Amino acid sequence: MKKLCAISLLLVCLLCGCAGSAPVERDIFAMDTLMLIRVWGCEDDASAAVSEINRLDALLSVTNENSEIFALNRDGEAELSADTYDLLVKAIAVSRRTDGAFDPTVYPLVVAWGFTKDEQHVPTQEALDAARSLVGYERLESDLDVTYFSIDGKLDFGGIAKGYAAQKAIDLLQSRGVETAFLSLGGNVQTLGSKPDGEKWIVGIADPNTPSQAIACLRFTGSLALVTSGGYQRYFDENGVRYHHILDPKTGYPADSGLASVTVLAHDGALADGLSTALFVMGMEKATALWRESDDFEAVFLTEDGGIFATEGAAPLLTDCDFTVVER
Amino acid sequence: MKTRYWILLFALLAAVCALCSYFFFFGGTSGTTATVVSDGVTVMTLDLSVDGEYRIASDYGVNTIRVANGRVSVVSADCPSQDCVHHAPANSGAPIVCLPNRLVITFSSSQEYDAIIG
Repeated sequence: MKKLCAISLLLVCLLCGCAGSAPVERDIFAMDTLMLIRVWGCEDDASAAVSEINRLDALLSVTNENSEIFALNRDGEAELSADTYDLLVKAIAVSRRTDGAFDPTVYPLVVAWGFTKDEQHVPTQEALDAARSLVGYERLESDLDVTYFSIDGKLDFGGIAKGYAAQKAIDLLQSRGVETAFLSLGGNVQTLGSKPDGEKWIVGIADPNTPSQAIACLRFTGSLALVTSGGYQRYFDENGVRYHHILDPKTGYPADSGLASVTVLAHDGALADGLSTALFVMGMEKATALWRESDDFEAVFLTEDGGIFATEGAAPLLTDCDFTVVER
Repeated sequence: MKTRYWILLFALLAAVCALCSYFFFFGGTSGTTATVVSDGVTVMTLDLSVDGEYRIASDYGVNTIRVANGRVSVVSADCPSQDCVHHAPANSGAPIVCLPNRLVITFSSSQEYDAIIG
C-alpha cells in the first residue's frame, strides 16, 4: 500500500508540479493600474515577483507620502536608494537620447494640467510658464555621481517606472531559476523565455478608437519588453477640444505629433517604457530618425489618420493588419 | 494483492485522464462568458447569453454590472473616475477594470491574446 501511495504522490507531483504547463497567475493593483502576472514556476516565485513590484511601487510612487520620490519632491533633497538611483540614471539616459522628449522632471507640468488628481483642466499661461521653468532633465545631470540628491524641480517616474518594475521582476524570476513568465503591467508587457508548449506569445496592440479591442497583433517567442503609449489612454475635453495626458516637456502642452500610439519593443523594460513616451512626443519623422541611429529597439507607429507603420525588426512579428515597413 | 495495486493505480490514472479530457473538451460553458474578479477573488462567471444585473460589493466600493444583448457593462460605480462606467458594453478584448474598487471583468473570448496593450 505504501508503494501505491508513493507512486500516486509522484504522479500528482508530475501532473501539478512547480514547472508544470499551467502558470501560477496573480492579479494585483499597483502603480495605479491592474497588473497580471503569470509565472511558470512555484507559488513562491509568483509571490516574489509581486513583492518586488509592490516594493518598487512604494519606493517610486509620486503620490504615496511614504515614498522616496514623494520625500524628494517635498524636501528638495534625499538620499537615494540603489534602485531609485539606478532608475534615475536610466531615465536621464533616455532623456538625453531623445533630446528631452522624455523627461523625468515633467511633474510640475503634469500637476498644472491636473492629471495627478483627476482634476484635469487647461492651465493658465502663468501656471504653465511657472511649471515649465522647473522642467528640464539637464538640471539633474550635475549631481548624478552621488546618492545624495537635490533638485529644485520635481521628479516623476510615471513614464518609466512600470517598465523598470517589470524588468526587475523578470530579473528576479530569472535569478530564481524561472524560465518562463509573462507580465502585463498596465500598458507594459514583458516576457521571459518561450511558452512551454512552444506556441508564440500573442500581444494585441489596442485600437486607438476602441481601446478594448486589438487593431494588430505581435506574435513572437522568447524574452521581450513591449510598451504602448497613446493619447487615447487618458484625456479630457474642454470647450470642444480634446487634451491627452502625454505632455511635450518643451511646449508644456499635450504632444501633437500626428501619432495615435507608439509601441516600442526592446530587451530592457525601462528603455521600452521611456522610449514609448518619447517617440510619441517626437512624432514619426524624428522617432524613425532615432531608430535608424539605434540598434536596441524596434517600434510600431499608429498614426492619427489610421496608418500603421512598423520598423524593419518589428515587421516580421506584426500580424492581423495592413502596414507599411519603415526601412533602415 | 500486487495485481490489485496495479489495477488501482491504472484506475487512478484513467480517472485523472478522464477528468483532464472533460475539462479540456467541455470546460466552461460553450458560449462567451465573463469572469468577475473582486479584490482578487472570482465572485462570479457570467453567461453573456443570459441578461441580468448584479451588485458587486467589496471593502473598496460597490459596482453594478449589467448583462444585456450578449455584452457586459458597468452601469454604476461609487468611484470618482467612473472609467469602468464609461467603458462601452463588451464581450471581448481587454478587461473592464474599476481600479479604485479593485474590480476586473475578463472575457473567455479574449483568451486568444496573452494581453492587449495600449
